[in-house]
Amino acid sequence: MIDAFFSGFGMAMRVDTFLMVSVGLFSGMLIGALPGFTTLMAMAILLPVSFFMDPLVGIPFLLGIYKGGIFGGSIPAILISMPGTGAAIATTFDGYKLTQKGQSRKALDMALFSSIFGDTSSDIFTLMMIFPIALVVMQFGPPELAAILFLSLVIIAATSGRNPLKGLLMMGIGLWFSLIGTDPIGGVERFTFGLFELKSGIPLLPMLIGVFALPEIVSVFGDRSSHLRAATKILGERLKFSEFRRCFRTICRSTLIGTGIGVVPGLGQVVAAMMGYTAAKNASKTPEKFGTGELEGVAAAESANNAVNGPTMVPLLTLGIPGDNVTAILLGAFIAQGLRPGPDLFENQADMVFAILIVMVLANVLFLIIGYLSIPFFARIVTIKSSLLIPMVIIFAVAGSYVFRSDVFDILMLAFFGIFGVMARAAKFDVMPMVMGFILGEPLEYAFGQTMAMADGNLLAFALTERQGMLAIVIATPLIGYALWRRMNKTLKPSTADQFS
Amino acid sequence: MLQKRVILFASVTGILAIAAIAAMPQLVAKPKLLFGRSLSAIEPTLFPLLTLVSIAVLSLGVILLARHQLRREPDGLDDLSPSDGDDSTDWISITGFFAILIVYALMFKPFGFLISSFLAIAAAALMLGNRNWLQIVALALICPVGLYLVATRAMLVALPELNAIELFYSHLFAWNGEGL
Repeated sequence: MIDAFFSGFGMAMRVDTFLMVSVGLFSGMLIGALPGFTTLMAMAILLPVSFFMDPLVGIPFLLGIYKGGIFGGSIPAILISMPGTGAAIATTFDGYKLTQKGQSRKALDMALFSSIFGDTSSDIFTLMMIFPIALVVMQFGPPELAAILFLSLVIIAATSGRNPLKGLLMMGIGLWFSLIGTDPIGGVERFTFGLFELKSGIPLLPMLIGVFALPEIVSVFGDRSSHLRAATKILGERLKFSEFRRCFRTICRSTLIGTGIGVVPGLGQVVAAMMGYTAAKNASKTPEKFGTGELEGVAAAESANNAVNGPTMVPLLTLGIPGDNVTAILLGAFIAQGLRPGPDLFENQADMVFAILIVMVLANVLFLIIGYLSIPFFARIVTIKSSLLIPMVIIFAVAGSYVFRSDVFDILMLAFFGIFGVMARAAKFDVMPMVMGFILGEPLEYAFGQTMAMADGNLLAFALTERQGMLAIVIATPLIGYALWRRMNKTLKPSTADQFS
Repeated sequence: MLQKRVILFASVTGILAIAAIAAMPQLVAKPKLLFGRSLSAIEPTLFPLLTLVSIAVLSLGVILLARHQLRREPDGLDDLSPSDGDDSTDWISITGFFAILIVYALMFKPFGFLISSFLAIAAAALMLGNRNWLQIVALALICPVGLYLVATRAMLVALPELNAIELFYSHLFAWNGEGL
C-alpha cells in the first residue's frame, strides 16, 4: 500500500492537474461569491467539462470548485449578509456584524484562514484513514454491501429534514427512477414506455443539472432585487496573528466537528457549520458576544463547513456512497471517467485514489494563495447583474446536458428534472434523497439479487448462520436513522431553521 | 399554502405509484427463462413493486401529516429543512423560464446551437429585466460563439449547427483541411 501511495504521489505531480485545480478554485470562489449561485450549481454546470479531461485533471478540477465554492459563499455572507451558499449561513451571524463595524477585511481573512485550516486538517485525516477503512470494506461481500447501502439510504432520508417521511418519499421516487431501463440482473426492460432513449436508463447528468442547478437559476429568475445591490467595499485592517491564535482552539474544535460530520452520509456543511458555531458559543466565556460581530463566530462556522470537504470522500471512495449532493456530482464524474468508486477501485487503482487525495491536500496551498490575492476582486463580483450571468448559465446547462450523448432527449430530461426540482422545492421536499436513491438504487438491487442467489432464496437462515454482520447492520439501521434524525432536529431548531428558508 | 402544496405533490406521486402498480404487467417485461427456470434469483418486478408500494404508503403518510399540520397551524411554516427554498414562489417567472428552456431544446437541432442560443439568451435577459439592447445583443452573440468554439475546438465535441454556419467556421478555423 505504501507503494500505491508513492505511485499516487508521482501521478499527482502534474502541471495540468494543478493548473486545472487553480481554475477550479478560482471558478468556485467566483460562483460562490455570487449570491444565489451555489457551489452545487457550479459543479453541476461544469461537470460535463471534466468528462473531456484526464481523470487526474477533471476530478481535481471539480474538487477545486468544491473547495473554492464553500469559501466563496462566505464573501457575500460577510459583506452583504447574504450567504452565497447554504454552508455560509452561520457565517452571516457574526461576519456581517463585523462589516457593519468596519472590519470586513478582518472577517474575510479569518474566513479564509479558518477554511484552509479546516480543509487541510480534514484532508490529511482522510488521507490517513481511508486505507484502513478500505481494508475493512474490501472484506465485504454482496450481503454486507446491500446492508450498508440500505443503511446509507435510511441515514440520508433521516437527515434530509425535519420530516423523515418526506425524505423517504423522495428516496422512493429516486429508487423508482433508477429502475427505469434494463434490469441489471435479468436484463429485461422496465418502465421504458417503448422509448429507445430510456433503454439504458435515465441519464445521470441531465438529472443532476436539472434538480440541482435549474431550481437555483429559477430562484434567481424570480429575485429581481439581486441586481439592485449597492456596491461593496472591503474595509478595515487585516487579521493579526494574535487574533488568529486567540481563535485557534475554536478552529480546532470546529475542524473536529466538521470532520466527524463529513464521514456520515447526508449531513453536510450546513449542519457542520451550525454545530461548530453552537459549540463555540457554548464553550465561550462570553457567549453574549456571539452574533454581535465576534471573530470566533466566523472562525467556528468556516472551519467546520470546510472540514466536511475531505471526509465526504470516505464513503464515496470506499463504498461508492455519496455523502451529499456535491459528492453525488463527483460520483457522476468518476463514473463518466470509467472509475466506479467502491472496494474494487481500491483493489485495482489504489494509486489513482491516493493521487486524487494527495491533490486534495496540496490544493489547499493554491487555495491560500488564490484566496488571499483575490478577495478584493470577489468582493466586487458580489454586485454583478444576474441578468448578465443567468442567460450564460442556461446555455451552459443545456450544452452540458447535450454534449455527453449528443441527444436532444437529454435536454428534455433536463427540463423534466428541472420542473420536478422546482415543484419539490416549492413543496419543501429535499431533492438530495431522490438523487441518492437514484444513484444507489441499481447497486442495491444488484447486491440484493446476488445475496438472494447466495442464500438460495432463504435469506433469514442465510443471515443467521453465515452473515451475522449483515443482520447486525440491518437491525441497527432504524436505530441509527432515528438517532441521527433526533440529533439533526436538535441542531436545526425551528428558530435557526427559519434562517434557511 | 405550504401544506397544500405538500398535499398536492404527495397526491400526484401517490396516484402515479398506484397507476404504475396497476399497469405493472404492461410496464415490466416478463423474465427470461432457461429450461423453464428464471435466470435471476429475484423477479424483475420485486424491486419495482416494493418501491411503488413504499411510495404509495409514504405519500399517504405525508398527506395525513400535512392535513394534521394544516388543521393545527393553517399558516404555519413548521417544516423547514436546510435545502428548502423560499415559500413565496413566482410562478410566472418559473413558467417563463421553462417555456424558454423547452423552446430552446426543440430549436436545438433544427436551428442549430448558435441561433437557438442567441434567441434563448436574448429572451432570458429580457425576462430578467435587462432593457439594454446593446448589452443583450453583445451577450447573445459572444457567449454562444465562445462556448461553441470551446466545445468544438478544445473539447472536440459536436454541437448541432446549420450547414452554412459550419461551412463558415470550417473556412475560418480549418486551414488545409485540419483543425486548429
